[in-house]
Amino acid sequence: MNISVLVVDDEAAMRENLSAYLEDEGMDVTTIESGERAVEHIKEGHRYDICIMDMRLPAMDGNTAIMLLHKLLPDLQFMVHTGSTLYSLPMELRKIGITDDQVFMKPLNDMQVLTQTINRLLAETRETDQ
Amino acid sequence: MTHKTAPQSQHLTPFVIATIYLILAALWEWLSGQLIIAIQSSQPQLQPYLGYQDWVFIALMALVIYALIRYNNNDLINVAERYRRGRELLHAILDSASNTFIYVKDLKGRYLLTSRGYEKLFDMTREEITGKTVYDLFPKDIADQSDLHDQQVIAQKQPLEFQESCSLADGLHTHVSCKFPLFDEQGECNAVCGIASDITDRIAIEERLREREELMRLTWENAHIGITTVDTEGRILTANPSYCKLMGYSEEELKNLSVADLTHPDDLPQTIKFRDALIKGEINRFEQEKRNLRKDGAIVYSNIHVAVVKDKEGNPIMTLCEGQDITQRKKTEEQLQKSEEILRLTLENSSIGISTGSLEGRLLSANARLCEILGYPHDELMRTRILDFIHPEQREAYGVKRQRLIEGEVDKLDEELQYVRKDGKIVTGHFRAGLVRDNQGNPLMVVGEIEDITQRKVMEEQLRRNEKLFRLTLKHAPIAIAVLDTEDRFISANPRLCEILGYTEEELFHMRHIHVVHPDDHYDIAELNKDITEDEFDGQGRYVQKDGGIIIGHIRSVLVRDDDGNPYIWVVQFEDITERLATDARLKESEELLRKTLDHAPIAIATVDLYDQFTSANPSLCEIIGYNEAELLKMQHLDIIHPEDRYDMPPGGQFSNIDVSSIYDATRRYVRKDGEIINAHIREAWILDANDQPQMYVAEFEDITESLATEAQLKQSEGLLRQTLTHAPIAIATLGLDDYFLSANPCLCEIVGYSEEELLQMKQREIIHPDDWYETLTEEEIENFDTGTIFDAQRRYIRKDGTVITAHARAACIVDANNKVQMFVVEFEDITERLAMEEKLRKGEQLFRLTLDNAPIGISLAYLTGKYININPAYCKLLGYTKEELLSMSHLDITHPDDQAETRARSKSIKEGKSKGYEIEKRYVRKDGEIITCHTSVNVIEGMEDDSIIVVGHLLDISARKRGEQEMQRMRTYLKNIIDSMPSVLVGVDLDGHITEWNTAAKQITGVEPDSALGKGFSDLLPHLKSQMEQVHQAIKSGEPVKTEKLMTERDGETLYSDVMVYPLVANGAVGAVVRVDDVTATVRIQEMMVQTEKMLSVGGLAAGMAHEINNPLGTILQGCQNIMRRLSLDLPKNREVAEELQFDLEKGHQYFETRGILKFLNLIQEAGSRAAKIVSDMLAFSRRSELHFLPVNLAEMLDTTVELASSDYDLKKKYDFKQVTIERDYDPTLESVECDKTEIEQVVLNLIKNAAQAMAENATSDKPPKILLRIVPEPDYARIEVIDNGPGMDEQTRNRVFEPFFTTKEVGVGTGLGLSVSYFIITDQHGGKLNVESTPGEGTRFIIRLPLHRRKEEE
Repeated sequence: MNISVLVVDDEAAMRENLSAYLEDEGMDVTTIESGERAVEHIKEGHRYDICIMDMRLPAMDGNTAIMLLHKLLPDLQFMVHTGSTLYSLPMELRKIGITDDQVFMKPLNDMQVLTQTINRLLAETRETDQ
Repeated sequence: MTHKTAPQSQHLTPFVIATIYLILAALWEWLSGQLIIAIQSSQPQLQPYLGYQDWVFIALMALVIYALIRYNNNDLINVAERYRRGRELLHAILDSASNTFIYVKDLKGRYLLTSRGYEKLFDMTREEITGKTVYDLFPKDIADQSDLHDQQVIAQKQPLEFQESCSLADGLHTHVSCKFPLFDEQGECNAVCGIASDITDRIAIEERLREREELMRLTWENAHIGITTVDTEGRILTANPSYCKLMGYSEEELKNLSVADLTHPDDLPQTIKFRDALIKGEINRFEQEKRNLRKDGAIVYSNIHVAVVKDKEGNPIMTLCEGQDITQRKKTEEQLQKSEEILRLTLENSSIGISTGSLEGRLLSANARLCEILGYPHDELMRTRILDFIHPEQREAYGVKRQRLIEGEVDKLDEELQYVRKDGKIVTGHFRAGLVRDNQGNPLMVVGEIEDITQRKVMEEQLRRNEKLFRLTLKHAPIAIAVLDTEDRFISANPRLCEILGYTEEELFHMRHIHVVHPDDHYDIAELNKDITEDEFDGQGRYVQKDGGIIIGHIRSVLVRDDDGNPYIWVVQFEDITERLATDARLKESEELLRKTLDHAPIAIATVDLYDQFTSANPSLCEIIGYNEAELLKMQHLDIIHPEDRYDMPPGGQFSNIDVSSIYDATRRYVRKDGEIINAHIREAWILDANDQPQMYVAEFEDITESLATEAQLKQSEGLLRQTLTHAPIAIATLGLDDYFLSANPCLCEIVGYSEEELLQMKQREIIHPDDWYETLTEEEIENFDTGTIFDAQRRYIRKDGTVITAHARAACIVDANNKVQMFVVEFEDITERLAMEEKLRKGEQLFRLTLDNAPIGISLAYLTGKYININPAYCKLLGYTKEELLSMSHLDITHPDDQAETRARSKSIKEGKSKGYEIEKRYVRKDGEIITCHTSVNVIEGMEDDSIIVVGHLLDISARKRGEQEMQRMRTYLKNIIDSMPSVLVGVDLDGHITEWNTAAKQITGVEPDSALGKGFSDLLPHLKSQMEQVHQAIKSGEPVKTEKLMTERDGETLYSDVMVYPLVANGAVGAVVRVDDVTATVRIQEMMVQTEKMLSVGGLAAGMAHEINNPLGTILQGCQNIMRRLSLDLPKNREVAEELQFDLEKGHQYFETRGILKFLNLIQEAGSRAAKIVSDMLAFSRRSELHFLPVNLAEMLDTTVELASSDYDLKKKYDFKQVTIERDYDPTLESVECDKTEIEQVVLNLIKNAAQAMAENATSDKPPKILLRIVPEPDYARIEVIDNGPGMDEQTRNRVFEPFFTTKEVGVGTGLGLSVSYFIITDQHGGKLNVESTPGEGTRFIIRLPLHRRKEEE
């Protein structure tokens, strides 16, 4: 079964680029334009392995969205994608197990890092499951 | 602690109870019996009732007894147990009191109970102690005391407290003992209980506290400095007596005042500022020099130290202020300033030229007088080298001496130097110089004084010459001359006189003149003392020579008066006339004899001149010839010769060819007046003059009958007389009564310049100066003339050549046989020369004397022994003695005791002929006791023939100058110290740019010692301030200080900034300036840095806002490109899959994209996007502060790592090859590690290295291979990392902007323009360090990173 990825970003171009790349890498990608919608989407019963979340979003910000999604799906792994180079991972996100190497600053010169990180995260999850 | 009595005694025994019961029963029975008897006697029917009562009573009693027994039994069982327990409890209580002794004693002093402490104390068990008395345990005195106290307690029956001492093993202990009595049930005292607490330690502590408090109080009250405590509001809380005294208030009054009331308004703001800071805790203490207002309104200067006193929580409660009265010091400072001014004025107006000269021989200062002496304007003088003033002949010698002074071989210079004035005239200066040293004792400069002594020298020279002349004249004068003082004592006598009298001059000295006069002639030769009223004395008398010989002397004395008309000395001319008198006498005698012989001789004699004229004829001849003499004298010889016997007369008296030596001998006939012819034997002899020329002849007539012997004798005698006259060295002439010359000897002719022939035609009067004409004697006078008279006159004569001579003429009468005056014999002595000599001497002496009297310096004439011969008024004035007093003293008497040894040594040296004089500075003691310092020069007077050494001493009072020199020196040192202690560079400079002042700060920045700096060129020593000379001129011209701020200079390749202040110095006629240089590099750097940081921060703020907005589109661009390229690539399986579906030839398509450059364009887009992303990220770095990780980093390792990083950054597109660059390293091994963020610093260094490599690559030349030098240098507070390249460097404009954001010199697209800004930000803002750049275009660039070694707390 393919890896399923949920991309949340308010910029359509960004959503397109990410999904195109990840799909090329053989993953199933769904894109959503806002935090609220993402929460609803999960509440509707959709499940993903990975969620790539933009931090600066209109209305609900990425931070809140992650926290809500985590509550709904504790197994969901997150990757933070932000345009602010000054971004530093807040304490609450660290508490739910998100680490600095899951944070990506825009722009990404090479999206290869995404594939690598996704693979690593999922490998780690499998290890803990076993 | 109640003590119960023994329980046994308190309980009833059963036996006793039984006894009581029986007694009671018996009693009851008895009583009942009595009652029954009584009732029976009255009512016998009541008997049964009584039996009932009996039983009741018995039963009751039995019950009572039982109860009693029961009760007592219980007591007996429990009492022992309770007693034991009570005792244990008691002991426990007693023992638990530590350091306290508790005991119970019975009335006899025996211990009943003791606490455990006793066991320890006496090393006994409690049981052993019990029963012992205090006497058993303690020494008697203590026991007595304790016992006494016990007794008191017992007597008074109440608790008492005592203080008891006892000496224990570890010293004397003091206890407070509380004793109280114990009572038994009856209230009787039966024991004493005591509780003793050891209070030794407490007493010791109390004692110490008391001492300390006393000490504090004494300190407070007796402190010499004023101490006050002030609350935080500034109100005075307390003040010690010193402070009260200082301020003139009482402590009570002060308590109502505040600091503001006591502080001078001008000093108040500062005081308040300090106090606020103190109370806020910003400072711990402060010190202020301030003015206080006394109660009486006076201002008191004080230096206060204020410290804050805090409570336990650290809140300030008051301040402690100590103040010291420095009013006196202030006043002294003011006085110092004043005295310095006076000193300066004194120097400036000094009559002595004063200068200071540098060690190199440049004038540093010169006062007005010096300019005057040397005839230069001041500024011109200052520009001239000292040696140029010195006379060329003395230059070399002076230079050597000066050097010796500077090198410390001599203390001072003191000599006469010839100076060449500007106008070429030579002046003689008395030059004295000393060396001024700085505080370290290094030579600083030469202070010299020049006293113009040209005039004095000329005078001295004149004096010396005159004196010499005078002395030589006296010495060589053929005439004996002496100088006598007014007491008739010889002061000097010339050799001639000494020879005459047979004494040496020394023997004669101070000998009374009258002593050499023959005792019998004292009437004729007076004592030449003050009693003589006439100014001249002329006398003749006998003198006694040393060997007893007697001579006759003729003295002529003239009294010389001093300026005030007081008799001063006698100048005596002495003439030994013994010889002359003898000659005169002999002559006279012989003449007399001759005359007499002639007159009375039977021989007739006549003298006949060359014209055959009779010049004399004696009576005999007259008798023989019959003519009287007068007749004969008018006749010629031939006239009386018989015509037949007449001889031939040569014409005109020319007897040149005759034999003058022969005596003509003939017998002729003569014709008498009466015609009678007589025969006479005649002998004629020639009288010759000095030239053996015949003058006349003597004819002797003899009657034939006369004896030949007589004739011959006469002839001979006459010849002798003639000869005598002719050859006499004395000018002699005979004069007729009519004043005609009758004869004149060669000597006279020589004197008057006339020949004898001429003279014989003349009267004496004709050759006498008209003013000196005398009256011709009348006949009558001649008649009555006393033939014994000798005329003695001094007259002027006029020589034939017109010159006037003065002659002393003495005339005596020649009488005939009748004692009638016939003629005069006159003896002339030409005294012209002698008079001239006398005059000259007198003048010379006068001059000499005046010179001495008026000389401003003290001059003395003394023997080498120190005995004075003469001294001038200045000398007396200098020493405060009168001349008379001094004459009776010795030079050593007035010499300061400490200087006597040297004076003796110098005298000795002279005596031994080793020196001819000396010059020293020595001290004298004046009559009034004052000590003065004089410059003394002593010189031997040469030309004294005898052995006595006479010295002339010159004294110049230099006391004031000495003091002045010292004061000046002191003041100079004082000022110098001030100047040297200033942190600013202070450089004095004259108009020409010569350094005149060079302080320690100047030395520190240049490394040039002040000594070598002085006189050097300003521009040479401070080349970076060269441009300031213009300001110096401007300042001098305008008289206003000129300030240049932030003057940019360069030293050792480093840019420095200085504030330069040029103060004009137009004081004392010296034109120059003081240049003050303050290094403000640090300040400027800080300012620059602040501006830069400010810029960075604003960039950072902007960037933070922009970043997100830009990063998103950039993400789209970059990721879009990546996606496009991936989807064009042949590798991705999905691409092939989709292409196959669409039947699109992917390979072809790829070829197409390649061929059309589409992939390349995509690459370019991606690159551009990356660069934009880099810019944003760099900008963001400015506001990124939180992520730094400060750890100790080994700089050397870090640099090496960075070089490796850089070398892997080979980038063709950037057109440089790092491998071509030589890396040199110069790491200081002592610097190990520095705390910093390694990544950040690496980034900075990498940036710098890459910049350098790029810059060098762009400007690569074959002759200069690219090289980067990495350096680590430790500095006191920083670690310095330098990145130095030999690239093209940059101009100043570029250098100033190099740290500006977006400033770049690289072509567009090569750099972001932020690299150096970010580096700057990292170093300065994030690390608190410094980043500087230095560069010289064409030579290279140096970036200097300074990382602080100790980071401040707030940055961590």
